[in-house]
Amino acid sequence: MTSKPDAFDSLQIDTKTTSAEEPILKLRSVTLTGLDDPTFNMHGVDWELPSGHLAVIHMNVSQHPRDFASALQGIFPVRFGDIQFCGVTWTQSDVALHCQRRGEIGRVFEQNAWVNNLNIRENVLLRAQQLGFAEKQLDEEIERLRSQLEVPPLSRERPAFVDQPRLQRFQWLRAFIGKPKLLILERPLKALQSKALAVLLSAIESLVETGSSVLWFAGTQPEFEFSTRVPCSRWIAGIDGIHLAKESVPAATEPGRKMLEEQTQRKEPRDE
Amino acid sequence: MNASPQSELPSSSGVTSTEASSNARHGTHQQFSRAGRFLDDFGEASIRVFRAMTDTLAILAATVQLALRPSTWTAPVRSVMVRQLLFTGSDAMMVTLRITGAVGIMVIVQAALWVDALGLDRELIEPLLWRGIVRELSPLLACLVVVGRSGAAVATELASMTIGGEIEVLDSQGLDPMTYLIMPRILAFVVSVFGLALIAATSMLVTGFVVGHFMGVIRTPWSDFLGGAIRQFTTVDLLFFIPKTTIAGAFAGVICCRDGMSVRDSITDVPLVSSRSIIRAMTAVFAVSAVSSVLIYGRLLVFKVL
Repeated sequence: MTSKPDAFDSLQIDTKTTSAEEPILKLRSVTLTGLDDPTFNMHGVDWELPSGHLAVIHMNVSQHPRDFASALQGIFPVRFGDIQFCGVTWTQSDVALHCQRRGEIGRVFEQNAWVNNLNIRENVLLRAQQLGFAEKQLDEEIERLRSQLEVPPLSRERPAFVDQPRLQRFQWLRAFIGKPKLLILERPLKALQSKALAVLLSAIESLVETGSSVLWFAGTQPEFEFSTRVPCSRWIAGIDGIHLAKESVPAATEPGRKMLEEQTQRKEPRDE
Repeated sequence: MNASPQSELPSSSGVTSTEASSNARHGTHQQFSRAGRFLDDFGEASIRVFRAMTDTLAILAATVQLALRPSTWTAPVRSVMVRQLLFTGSDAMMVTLRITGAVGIMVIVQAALWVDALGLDRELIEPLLWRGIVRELSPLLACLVVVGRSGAAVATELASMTIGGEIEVLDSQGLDPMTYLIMPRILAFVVSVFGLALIAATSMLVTGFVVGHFMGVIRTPWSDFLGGAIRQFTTVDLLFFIPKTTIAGAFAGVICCRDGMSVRDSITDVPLVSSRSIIRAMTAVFAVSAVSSVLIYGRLLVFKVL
């Protein structure tokens, strides 16, 4: 076994210390019933996500995080309680401020992630253009992220004509543009081969180092495996309609570690 | 079983008095229940109409407010506005020319027929043509072209986007759907209806003149006809033309957008929303035209009301 460090070992995220700063996300007594997935309910949940932190929420394969993720962005209404993002409560009535704040959140959707009458390039650049990025700066950032995330060149095809693995990579690119303060990943490895995990983790590491936080809704086996190894806080979404229960972070077992390394180092055909 | 034995006696019709009393109570109850249901339905319909009106006015007010704010006009919003103008205005020019050309011919033929039938002076045809076209027909036809062509498309597009979760995708990226989707579409409707109404008026006047000239109904040369038409033009016409086109266009746009965004259930609702939206928008256009005529010219059809 080679001792070559992989992307997971190099992650240096301290999950034990809590930042004195304002948390990126703060849930106060949140009660939520999902529309897309009624099994994903929350009742009076208090939860915080500090800055510079990676949190992984494990969900049952039948559960969909879309409504919860939308609630975190202030798009989906909570029944009780409130959600704060960087000190701004979504129940405030300042629409312009909400839009500005949402622009600081990158998100990879599990499904229905595109505006179908825009092409891929327009879709990917939409948030950055809304935020007023200069064209040159944007081009440079896209090139940097494309190489970091191994994303193919931005096409001018409509999303309906692009295959799922490429679409997923484009979603990554879109979410990472502009160094978002919060990155929400809804099963980001969907439609991708497991070697993509290392690439994504490396990019997450860079982002977290700048003080951004990442919330990862995991559902696949490789995702479950990685979260037992990287420093992150792990949570389980109950299927009985309650809570986010914190899990301890067990040390990686040797068989699990070996399997993951094999998966990430195996020469696999390009998934694009 | 407290009923007296008498009450159990059958009447001549074979119904006991208990049954009769029960039937009477039941009948009264049914009447009340029917009346209650009617009131219930009426109240519900009234609330729905009131809510639709307040929503429409609120969207109009928000559109004006957003359009006047420079920070609204980010690159994506400008891009949507340009596309929508292209689709609603520019692409509809040829259709407008074709339709209004045909209507221009119909108007001149009917005008000639009626002037002859009533034994009136043929000089009356020019002002009739001008007033009928500029004041009433061209704004109405422009609105109908825009609603029929773009209104249906906008309602369908927004409904599909809502059901497909695309609105949520936009919202999650900090793009306010009101600013990015609705405002540019309503403004494009307003500008397009105004522009197409000008084109429609010109097209109808030209085809009216050409056909009238060939029919021998209009004997003046083009320059005199045009000069006469311009002399007919009054400030009231201008006052009438601008608000009539812009207000009707705005209402049509708001109704199509609101209906498109209001779909909630499934993709099969999209065609229903689309057709309902066209009918509503057309109704609004006719209503706005009628109200504008009454307010500006003080007339409802041929009756002076103001």
